[in-house]
Amino acid sequence: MPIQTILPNTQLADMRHRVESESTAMQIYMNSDQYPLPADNRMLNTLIEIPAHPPELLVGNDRAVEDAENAIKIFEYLGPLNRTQAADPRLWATLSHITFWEYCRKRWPEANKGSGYILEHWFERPGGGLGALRRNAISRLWWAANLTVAPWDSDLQLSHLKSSDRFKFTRILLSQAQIFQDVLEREYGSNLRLRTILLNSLHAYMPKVSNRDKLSKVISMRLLLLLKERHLESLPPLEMEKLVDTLVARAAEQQNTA
Amino acid sequence: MASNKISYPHPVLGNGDDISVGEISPTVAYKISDEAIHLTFENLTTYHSEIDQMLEKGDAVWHLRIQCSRTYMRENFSANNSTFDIRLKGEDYEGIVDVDITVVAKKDIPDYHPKGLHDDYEEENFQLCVGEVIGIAPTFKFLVDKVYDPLKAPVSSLVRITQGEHDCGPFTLTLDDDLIIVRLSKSDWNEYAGIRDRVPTIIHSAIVVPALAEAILHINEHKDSLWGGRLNDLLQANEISVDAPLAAAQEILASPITRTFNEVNATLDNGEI
Repeated sequence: MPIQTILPNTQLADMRHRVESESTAMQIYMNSDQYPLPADNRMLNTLIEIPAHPPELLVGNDRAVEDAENAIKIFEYLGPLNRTQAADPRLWATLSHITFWEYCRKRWPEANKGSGYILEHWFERPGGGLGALRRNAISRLWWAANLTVAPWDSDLQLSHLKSSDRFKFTRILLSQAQIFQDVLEREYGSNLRLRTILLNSLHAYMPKVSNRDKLSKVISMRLLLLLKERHLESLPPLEMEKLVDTLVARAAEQQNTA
Repeated sequence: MASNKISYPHPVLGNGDDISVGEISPTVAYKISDEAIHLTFENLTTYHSEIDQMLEKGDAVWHLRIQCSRTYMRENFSANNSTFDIRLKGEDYEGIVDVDITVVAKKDIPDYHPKGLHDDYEEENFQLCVGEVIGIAPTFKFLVDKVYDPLKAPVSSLVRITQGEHDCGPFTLTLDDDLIIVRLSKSDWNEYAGIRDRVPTIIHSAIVVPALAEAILHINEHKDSLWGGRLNDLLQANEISVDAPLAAAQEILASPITRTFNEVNATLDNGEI
């Protein structure tokens, strides 16, 4: 199998500098069929084996469905990287600029918004942290799948949530942009059990409310407050599930009676 | 170390002046290698007789939370004793790692009224639910900065290839150093310098595999060395047996021979040779 190659840091620094300092750079991200790498650019090898052909990623009118399908495709293409590998911005910047250049341009077509937009979606948001990997056009897809694929395989206490669809929770996570943001940009979203239980409850109550984004936002805020005084992760799994479910049910009910 | 002061619905030891008796000031020692992170918690005590008694009886428990924003990792551990060891997989952490140490209720407590309460609380009793915070320690942080390139095998954290003093002939191996030192003859070094970044998997197969296998064969004599500790962590973390050193070396380097064939084939297909 071929191996994934990556752009060296020096080359990426030049590309980033170009975005930050040259107003013409955004034309490349708007109009070019491929990123113009210098002729003497030398790629670095990695240990990541990839299929001979990258998947065709979908870009249409149903972003929620397409994002989920694309997340599964990217995850299956790259495989289960370890977390340190997957936190390396060189990998994602390379995939955004070379392998999936066309997809990135179509999915994020507003490069004329400025350097911040390009840096977020083609590179990595400056400062790192929880939001950084969530923004890159490709890393967001891989991380979404990696954090949600068959959680019952990693935590036996979640076996009652087992589904024939190994990516059931990937689809829930990407079903609303607000859920994706609320889960991946909050610290609690880094815990497998809490993340899965929360997604399961949101999935159950989303069809019962008219404003799904609002439900996710309210839950996120209340959960943050609750976690300050009560460590849900220290509770027996069923108790954690009951508590999260009650929280979501109450917020859904309040929204419907308001 | 950062101190805490937030508003809880009940008094919390370590939160400002909520409770004047007792103190939570554990020590956390870190041993970080690319392969594993060892955390040792000592002095897990509150110096508050009632809360310590709750910990002893199992009515409360130490809750240790390890969080790494960079890798979306958040693990939780429970401890009952005054010392506690945690071993984390090195590959799961990168960058700043936060360690939160708290005491939480292990069962519902209907009439919580610890001694030393601030006067503002007067004679009030509090009802605590399981999981609610009873005490907090200052937050600890540490930095995990990988020595090796995470997208490559962890070779550079174990093996260093240098120029030897001999003009030609086979490479030599030194294990009595921080890293496994491979010394190439001067003529081989010149060749190596020109290709090491272009064909890394071939270098793995030709030089690092035998060097690592030899090192694994002698690992018990070098467990205290830097490379010995790292290699031992790596072997344990991946449950690799040292009984077959050559196979172990290949496993650590993630099938270097297969990758070499792939690399050579790809290079030949591209007409670069």
